[in-house]
Amino acid sequence: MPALLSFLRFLADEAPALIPAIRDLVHSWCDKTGVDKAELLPALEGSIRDDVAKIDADIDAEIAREFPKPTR
Amino acid sequence: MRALGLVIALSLASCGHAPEHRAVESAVLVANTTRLAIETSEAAAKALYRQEQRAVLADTMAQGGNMEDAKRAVTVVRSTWKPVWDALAAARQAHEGLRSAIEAYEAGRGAVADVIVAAGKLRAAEDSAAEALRTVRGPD
Repeated sequence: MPALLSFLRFLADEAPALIPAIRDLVHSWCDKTGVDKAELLPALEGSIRDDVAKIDADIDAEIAREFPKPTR
Repeated sequence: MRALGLVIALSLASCGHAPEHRAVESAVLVANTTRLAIETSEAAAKALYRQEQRAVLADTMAQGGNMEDAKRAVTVVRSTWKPVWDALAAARQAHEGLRSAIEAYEAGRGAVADVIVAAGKLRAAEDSAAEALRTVRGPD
């Protein structure tokens, strides 16, 4: 289990955009196997890169809202 | 913040090895003080990062820029800040490493030397994070 936790933390740090999909995967895998979700899900939370990805997503939404598309 | 938020407490009162006791106590102090420093740096960095992106968007808007111009402008800010996020992630990881080393020592599974090494790595990681942040923010 520690190896799996480390791997989940690695994914959360290196590919924050994948976190929602990985979280779903963890849920369904835990449902199938009976492994306690509470042991695994915290590894996907609170990553600094996740926080940064959220800020970037807010800014991207602002750009989409406020700026005109380029004309060709 | 979950991992960083854990308060490390040792019960070394009954330990008869005074130098080891002092080394581990010192490592606990490092773990707790750097946790606060890392949390503070992260909060400040995230606020400034958002603010800088908003500032370049305001400039782009004032110059009549379009969506592509805005995306280019924030890409520059994001590239500039990437070393800060790498350094802060490394500092969090080093903190987790020290926490694990202390817990292993407490449980009789680890050596004091591992705790000392982990504390050194955390100090170095914290210095790197502070330096990365200074580089982005410029001199005070």
